[in-house]
Amino acid sequence: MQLRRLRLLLPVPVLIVLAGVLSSCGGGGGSSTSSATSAIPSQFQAPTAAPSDAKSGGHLTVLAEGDIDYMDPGAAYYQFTYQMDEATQRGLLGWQPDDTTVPTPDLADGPPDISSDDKTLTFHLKSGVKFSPPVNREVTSKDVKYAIERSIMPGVANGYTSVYLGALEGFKEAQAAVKKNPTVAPNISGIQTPDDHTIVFKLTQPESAVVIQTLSLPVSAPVPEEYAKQFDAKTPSTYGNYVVFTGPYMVQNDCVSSSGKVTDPNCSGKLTGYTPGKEIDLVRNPNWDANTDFRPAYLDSITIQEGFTDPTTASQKILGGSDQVSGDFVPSKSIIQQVASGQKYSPDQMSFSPSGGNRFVALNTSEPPFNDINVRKAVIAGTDRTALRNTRGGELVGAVATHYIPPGIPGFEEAGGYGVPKDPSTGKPLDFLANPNGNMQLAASYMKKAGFKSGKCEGSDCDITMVGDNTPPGSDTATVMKDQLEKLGFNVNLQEVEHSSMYTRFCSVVKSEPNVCPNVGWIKDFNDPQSILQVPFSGSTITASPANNSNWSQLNDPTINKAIDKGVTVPADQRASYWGKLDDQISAQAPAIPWVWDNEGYVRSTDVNGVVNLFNAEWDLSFSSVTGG
Amino acid sequence: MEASELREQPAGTAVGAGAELVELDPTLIAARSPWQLFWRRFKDDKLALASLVFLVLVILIAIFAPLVVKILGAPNPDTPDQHALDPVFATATGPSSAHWFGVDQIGRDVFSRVIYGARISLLVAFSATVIATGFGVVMGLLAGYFRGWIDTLVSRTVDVLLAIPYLMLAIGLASACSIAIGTGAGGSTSNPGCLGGLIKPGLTVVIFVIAFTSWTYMARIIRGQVLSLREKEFIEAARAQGSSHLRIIFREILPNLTAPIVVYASILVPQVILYEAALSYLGVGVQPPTASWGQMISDATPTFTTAWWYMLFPGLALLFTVLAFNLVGDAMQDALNPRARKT
Repeated sequence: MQLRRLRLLLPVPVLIVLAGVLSSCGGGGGSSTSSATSAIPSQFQAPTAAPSDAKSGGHLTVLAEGDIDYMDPGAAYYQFTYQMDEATQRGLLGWQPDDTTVPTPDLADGPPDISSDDKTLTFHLKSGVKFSPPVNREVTSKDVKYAIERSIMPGVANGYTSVYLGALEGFKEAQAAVKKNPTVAPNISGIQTPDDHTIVFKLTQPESAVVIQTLSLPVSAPVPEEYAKQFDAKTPSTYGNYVVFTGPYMVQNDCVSSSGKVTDPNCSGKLTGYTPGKEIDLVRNPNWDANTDFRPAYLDSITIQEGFTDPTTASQKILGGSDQVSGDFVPSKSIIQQVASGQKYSPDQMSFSPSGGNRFVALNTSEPPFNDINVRKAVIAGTDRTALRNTRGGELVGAVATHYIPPGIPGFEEAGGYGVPKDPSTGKPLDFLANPNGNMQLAASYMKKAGFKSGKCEGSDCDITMVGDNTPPGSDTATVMKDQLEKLGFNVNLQEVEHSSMYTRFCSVVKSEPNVCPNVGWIKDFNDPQSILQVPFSGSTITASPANNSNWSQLNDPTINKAIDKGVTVPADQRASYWGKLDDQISAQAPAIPWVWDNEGYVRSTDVNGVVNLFNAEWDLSFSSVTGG
Repeated sequence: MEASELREQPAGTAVGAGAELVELDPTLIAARSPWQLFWRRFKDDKLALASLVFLVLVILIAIFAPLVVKILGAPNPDTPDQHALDPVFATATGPSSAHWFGVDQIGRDVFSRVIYGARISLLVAFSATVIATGFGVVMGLLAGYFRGWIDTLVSRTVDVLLAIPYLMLAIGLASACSIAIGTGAGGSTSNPGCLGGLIKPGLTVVIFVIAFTSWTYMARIIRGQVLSLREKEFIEAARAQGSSHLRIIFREILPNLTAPIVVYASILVPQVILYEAALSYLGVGVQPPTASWGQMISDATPTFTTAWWYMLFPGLALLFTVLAFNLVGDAMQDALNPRARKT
């Protein structure tokens, strides 16, 4: 996934048929969530449990800058949308607020049974889980099968089904079928439903762990075929206007009142509580049964209010107001300082957790001057990465990155942890990543190696282009980067555009990519290093979709490509060390300047007992409560 | 009203008390050019004089900005200084001995940015005013002198332009010309701008937009003046002598329009400065990281409660400069047209 506020506008293409294996059912893999959070002072660590005296009732408002990406859970591929989906939809698996490694059974009544050859997964479904009005009937395994099948229809198509579920038996045939007939959900023969409460996933390769992780994402939220078929027949599907829900909350539709009572039994199910770009009204789902769910769902109703274009003002409104939490934005550094100093607001109104993401300045390795590895090394060596991090804030917003796998993801320690990564071929630390404040002498020596005798870039190749954000903090990062590059002799033409255009018109378009993209970053899909490194650094990403490329460095190194391909099938107990080493291998190629492992920041009003879901790095709406009750 | 009374006195002495002076010292009745008269009246307005001195200072500072910054030992305006930021939160810090006006959110010196910002403000102010005045005067002269279809064409164009909401047009034009329209081969982002590259994004867009929307008043006023001037005897005399149209327009009529041109241009300058600040504030003006007052104020808005210095200093610079231009403009108007003040 691209980082928060950075949604994927087009689905990520099928990359490689994955054949990776995590440990059976998540665990293991050397997860280091605890060591990662230790970088955040305990005072600001995100709360992951509701207080024992949490009250039921009350209303919460989530303030947001922008909108969710898709109301349809099959299409959603955005952190902020997941936050809503977690409170309104129940997939086979879900996430307890404090766990980022092992998903919790949700629709399933327990962890899946995994066959000994690791190619068959069997889930048993709970009984008593019902769809919201107007469907009202009990959820069956067929609804889960349909939900996954429809997610490869062109009118639904999220960015990840084909990447992570491609190893299902019959997946290729289903893709071919849907190409021929895009208005009907294809049958995936590898998903079988022997009875209403059993669903079996048959894989061509032993990679149950990736599949399990994927089934914790909203794609496994059940969709009733008999109801959704009519909407899915259109391209794009209009199911997003008629979604039915299984979670404790639902977006208000024409069947229920604002207090979640059924008012009209003959309703169509059309959503009335969603005004794109403005507001989403969540009410209690009258068909939800607390006995079937691990979510306490204290709140009576939730409003997601959008359009707060200035995060500082929105943060101030939350901090000084009541019953409010932050949505899709992080508090600016001036807000962080204001809250932490405790003068105006209480410091405990703010908290942080690792996002499982990184930010880097991509250097376009496909053309001069950055096709020369020594020039890239010189730039990385000379860049004050702390200065780049400081554009977002101090230590609280995240540690200065030295490589790509972020803290909390297996492989982080193996890749060097917070220290300097080692060159996998020589075993020596990569000197150009050693100094977080930049080392101009080292930069000059690499420039000399690249053939610039003065130690600075000279000549027409040093007139470079850069496209960055036009709003802070991204624009600040771009400005600081420009200054750093100019110190190294480059003549930088900086264009500032809207964040989404930065991706869709420049940095993600292979043909029109500038030399430097300072505002790119990548966040995990789930707790596996593959979901960090594969897409942004595999050469196949470039060729697969030149118009929507997420390999912003255009790194196309045959050795690395091969190693990534091999990495997807590496068994669970070796994944952390394998991908950690691969991270070092990528760092040694100097494709980009990694500068921060983001922490996600959260603010709340004093009367909100907020709980953060660490997996999704957002407030967990079904665990948070208000003291007013 | 005190000030205006003060101003009337010298005007009175110059005209009314002339007879008295004859008895005292006849040599005092010297022939004075209109400029001498103007200066005599102008310099009696002490406030305007002070403003003029201030403006000369600002203009000198703007022209020699790099030198001024160097002499005063202030940092480069575009260089972020990490050590100046708050060590824990990396936020902006206030005035100190190293940074007199404090630093902004990425550690750039506010003092030197204010100084460099003066360059942009004045550059835009003078160039846009010159273009708008020049174009407006020529249009006004043509329309007023030739009348007929030329007058209709110019006047209706002016009417149409006046009916267009200025700010909207400015924002639209500025953003249309500022966006990188395409990308060249090899990933270079090229910026063709508008009108076949004549208007490049950034400064030239701002100047063009402001000039384009500001020439209309000048044209109207000049046209009105010309309409009455062209019926005067000396013009008829020139015409009878067989002077060419060009000669009549530029040698006979134009010199008589100096006063209104100077007056309206001087009113235009402060307007243009504010206009530029507004466009930069809205993000369609001068492109960052080039320092401009409007843009600094805009950058400072989210952090105003914690970093007041970042908005205060560019704000004061803008306020005083515009005020000074207005005062000087007023005084010039009074001095050129002393009777207008009496009503």
